[in-house]
Amino acid sequence: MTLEILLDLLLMAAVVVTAFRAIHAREIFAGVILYIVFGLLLALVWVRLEAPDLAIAEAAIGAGITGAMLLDAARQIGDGPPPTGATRRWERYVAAAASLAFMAVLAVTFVTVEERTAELPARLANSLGESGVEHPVTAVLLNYRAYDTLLEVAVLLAAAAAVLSLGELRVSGRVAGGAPPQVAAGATALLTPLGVLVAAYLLLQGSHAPGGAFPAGAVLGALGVLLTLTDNSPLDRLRPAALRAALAAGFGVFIVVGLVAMAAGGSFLSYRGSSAGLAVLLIETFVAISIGATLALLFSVGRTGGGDERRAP
Amino acid sequence: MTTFAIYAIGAAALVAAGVHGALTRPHLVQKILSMNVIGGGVFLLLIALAYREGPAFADPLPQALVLTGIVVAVSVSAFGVAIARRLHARMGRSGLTEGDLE
Repeated sequence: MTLEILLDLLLMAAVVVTAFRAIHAREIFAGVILYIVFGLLLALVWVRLEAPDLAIAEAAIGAGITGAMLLDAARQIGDGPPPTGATRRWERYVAAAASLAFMAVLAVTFVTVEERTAELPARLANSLGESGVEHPVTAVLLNYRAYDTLLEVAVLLAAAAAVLSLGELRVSGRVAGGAPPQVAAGATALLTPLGVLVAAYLLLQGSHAPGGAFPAGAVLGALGVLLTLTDNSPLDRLRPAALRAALAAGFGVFIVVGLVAMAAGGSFLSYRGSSAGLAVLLIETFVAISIGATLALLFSVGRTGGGDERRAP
Repeated sequence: MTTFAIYAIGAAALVAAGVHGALTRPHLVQKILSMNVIGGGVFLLLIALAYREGPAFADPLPQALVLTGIVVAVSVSAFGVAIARRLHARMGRSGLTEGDLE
């Protein structure tokens, strides 16, 4: 028991220190690297707190995709000119003191949250049979609270639309000129079929164990990033209409399945019993494809070669 | 000191560090990064609460919520990065200055 507490303390301290160092790193690039370390340590925390689904998603999306996106932005934008209005010393002290006080208030509030027995886990365990899947997290995500997940898929689609409207799709990996590195290109060629296999495995495993559409989509998205970096982006080969279809497929199929459940006599998105397993699998497959395409797109849009397109204001 | 207390205090530290960073760091990439640290703190609190209710029977609802949150966070970060890139391409700047806020 004592050893466990010691490990908890070490892990938590490592997470907080890395986060702090990431935010306050002198160079932006170093800060983003530290942020990726922070994400991987956070994935360890999720494993420790018995949430393996989150660990997969955090490592792939939180640390992986967000990290790659921020690294690319940091490379392109650079450290930038120093801020004009220099902050005075007392201002920094006031900000630090205010943040420490804020942290103390939050800590007291969080620690004293009343302990209560949640009724939902027991109810969920009893009715898991009608949800069509055996893994409780997947059951919540894609059946009992499918509305939340539908809107989440909508948020992703909205992000893709917003990002596309701000910058042109530029999928070439070559930002500094020259050919992509040979080793990376070779490794990516080997990893791609393996990655697709892992994604399919995670997708199907989600019905009874940690996995499902989100980890599967994240793996597909990471593959898309790798392929983009080695000049082989799959988005490059799609026609604009096909690309839009890939981005919107998850949202569209989700709504269609919800409407079919409605037509079958229930309400929107209420599928229970024998057909629920099929409905969940159908939604998950298309949502995984859309998540993969969207994550790859979010990384690819607006990449340029480091400040050469700068214009005078 | 229990496992829950350690992670709850850690969550508070992450949220406070993130808010402090978002307010004081000038570079937009650092602001986006700080925002993600705030999110990490909120997720940590939710999962620590779920863990306290019983490690053998962890509540799947917060887990599903956090899974949703991670994907929403990456969407927001992507939008932020797109805006930061646009600002840099048009103005050659990496952050906001006081005049921008008026």
